Amino acid sequence: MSSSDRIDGVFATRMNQQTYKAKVKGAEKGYELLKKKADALKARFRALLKEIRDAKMALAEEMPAAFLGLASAMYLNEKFRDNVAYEVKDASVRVFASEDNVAGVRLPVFQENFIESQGDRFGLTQGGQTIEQAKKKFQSLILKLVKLASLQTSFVTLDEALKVTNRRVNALEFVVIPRMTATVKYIAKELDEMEREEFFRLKKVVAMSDDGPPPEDVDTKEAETALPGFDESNEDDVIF
Amino acid sequence: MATLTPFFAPAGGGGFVNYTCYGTSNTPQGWDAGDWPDILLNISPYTWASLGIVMALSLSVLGAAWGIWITGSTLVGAAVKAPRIKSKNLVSVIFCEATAIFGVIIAIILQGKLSDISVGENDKAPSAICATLFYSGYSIFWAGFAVGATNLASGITVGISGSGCALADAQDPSLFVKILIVEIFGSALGIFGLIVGIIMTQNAQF
Amino acid sequence: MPGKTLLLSQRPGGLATFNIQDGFNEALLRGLQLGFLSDADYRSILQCENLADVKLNLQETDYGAYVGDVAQISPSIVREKALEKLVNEFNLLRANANQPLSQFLEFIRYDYMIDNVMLILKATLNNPNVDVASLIKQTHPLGQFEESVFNSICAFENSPKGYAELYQSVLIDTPIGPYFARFLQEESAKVSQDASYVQNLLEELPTTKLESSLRKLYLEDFLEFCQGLGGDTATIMTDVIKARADATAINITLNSFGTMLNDPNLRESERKPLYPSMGFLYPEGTDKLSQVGDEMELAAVLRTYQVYRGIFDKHQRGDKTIDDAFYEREVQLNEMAWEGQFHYAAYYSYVRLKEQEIRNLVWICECIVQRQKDRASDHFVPVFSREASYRKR
Repeated sequence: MSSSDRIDGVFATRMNQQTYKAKVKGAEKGYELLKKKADALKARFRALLKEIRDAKMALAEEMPAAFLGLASAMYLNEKFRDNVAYEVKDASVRVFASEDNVAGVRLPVFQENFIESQGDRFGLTQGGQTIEQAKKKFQSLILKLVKLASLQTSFVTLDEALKVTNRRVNALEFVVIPRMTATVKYIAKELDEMEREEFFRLKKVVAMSDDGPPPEDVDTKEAETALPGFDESNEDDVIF
Repeated sequence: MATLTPFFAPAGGGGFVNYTCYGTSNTPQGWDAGDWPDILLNISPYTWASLGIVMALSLSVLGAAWGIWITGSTLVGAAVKAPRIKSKNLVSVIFCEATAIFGVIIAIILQGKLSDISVGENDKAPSAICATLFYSGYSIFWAGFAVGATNLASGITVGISGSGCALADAQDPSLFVKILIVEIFGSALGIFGLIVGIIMTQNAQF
Repeated sequence: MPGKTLLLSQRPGGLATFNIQDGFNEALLRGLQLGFLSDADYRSILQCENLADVKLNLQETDYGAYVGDVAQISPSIVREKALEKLVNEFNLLRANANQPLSQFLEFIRYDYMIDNVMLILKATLNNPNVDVASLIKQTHPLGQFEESVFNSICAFENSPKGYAELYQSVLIDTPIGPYFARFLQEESAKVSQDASYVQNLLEELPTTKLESSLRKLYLEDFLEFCQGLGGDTATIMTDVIKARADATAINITLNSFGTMLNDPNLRESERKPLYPSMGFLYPEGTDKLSQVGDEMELAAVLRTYQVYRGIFDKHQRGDKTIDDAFYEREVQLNEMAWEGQFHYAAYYSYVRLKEQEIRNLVWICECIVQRQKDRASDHFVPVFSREASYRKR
């Protein structure tokens, strides 16, 4: 692990160590939560995909029948088109937007409100029944279309949310947490080093205060006795 | 007062009955319905014969013209979308034309019967001469009418069937011959008149 | 109702005299009859996989000159081009026509004029600022008015004055004006030409009623005119128009089931006035029709009319929709006009049969576009087909 993996400009202090330990813990907690969220979103995403597929299959089945029904109606009475264009004042299908919450992600959902129109039947003098059939087919078709539109919009939103979450999870897992862990390790190492230095210095000070001014060459044996528990032979050289 | 004198003495002797024409008369005899035959009797057999010739020709030509009109207008119209029919269907026009030709033939034949009076030269009784003249005049008149009328009808018939023929040919070329046969039968009507006309005037002579 | 007696010189004439005025024109019409698609044409079009193939097939028919230079073909373009052809042919016939044939041809156009005026009325009542230019494109080309009339309709504005102008232009400048006038007279005995009154009337009336009333007046007028013409024209046109009126009456009854019009209280007051006041069913048949409330009762009424019983049986067995059965009947009746010569009914039938052919073409094209060729036999009625069911019998 090279030094660039840790966060630069962090002083190795006890306080920082505490802070970063807490941060690591927080990041790990966050990672777990985000991971759970990502899983939840993914599950929903898969379900959505299946629903969209089903809805599209249903559309593929109904669409040709509906448009052929329209062609039939046009065959029997061309004028009904104008009547629809100029005489229909109210929409029978209205769409309202509402929200669905999946693991904190707000998904737009369209809800249709279907009101059977009470107006005159079209093509009274000709083709009325066929026009009625075409109308029924298109009514069911538009409900399916609204459903598909709703699913598709949810799908796009969910896809975005899932990407963001996954990115966060990955960032935590592969960047933030390793770097913080590295920083914590670094701080610990630094602190150890500093402690050792301090101890050594302390020992020196003690030795000097006992024997007056220190001799020109310091006997290592004296030092050894002064530092019980420090076994130089077991210690690797520390290279900074 | 215009007293008409017959140009020959009527049969039965006793002299000719003098009478005056309706409308020009102020004689005491006046006019009653029974006098009609007298008018006919006073019309010259030559007049009858000439009228017959006129009718044979003019009615035949009328029929032919009428037929060509009916066929021709249809033919022209039908040929707009089906130009191939135009020369084939001229046959219909020719069939119509034939009725006019029948009329011309009969007119010439009838015309051949007309001559200066020669029946009187054979020492015949005046009544016999008179009867022959009347017979000839009437037979030529009615033969001409028969020919003219049949040819008029025939011309229109051929024209109508020719019109149908043109339309049918435009739709389906295989129908042409079939309808042409109908036209031939229509044309035959004129020939009936022609034949009967010739037979009718066989014994006519002046 | 005996027709208005025309002078002998105003009549089309019979066998011997018809061609004096109309021989050329009739033969022209018969020539145009060659342009109907044959059974073989329909078969080859039905075998096409896409519209480009349809175009290739059409190029070998009478439509060739019209679809030849079309780059992108679609059902609506087929319809547009076919209509263009029909209109050109109609105008050719119209240009060659003398009275009374020209009047007869005008009568054929009135039908489409009523459609167009109704379209413009509906559109302007719905949205006064409707784009008039696009509206004119939607109108049927056979029912086109002269440019001045169009301009005055274009200048229509949704104010009492605008209504007055529209009313005036429709009433006075168009041939169908008299029907409007008579309709308004019937609606109110004290009809005045007061513009606000007209506006109120137009706004209050359901357009369905206005349209059916205009159509009724038109058909009555047309029938009277045809009966005045006499001869085969009268015989065939009476059949055709009466059959059309009957089809309308039966359709209105059948289609009203499930709507407010079928309400027992409204049957007499609202539904019955929509029935045409003529036809083979009129008056005792329509009286009975005005009382029926469901299909069983309708079937019971129609049982006594052999032709309509057959048609309704087809509908009830589910072989065909009633509209398809009526289309077939109409084609059959219109084809009768071509069995005889020297009459005008063939002109009317030509336009009707061409309309049917255009519908056939558009329907088949739709089926090909939507890759549902197996459904193509659901509708179309081939014209002059040797395989027609009524010809096989």
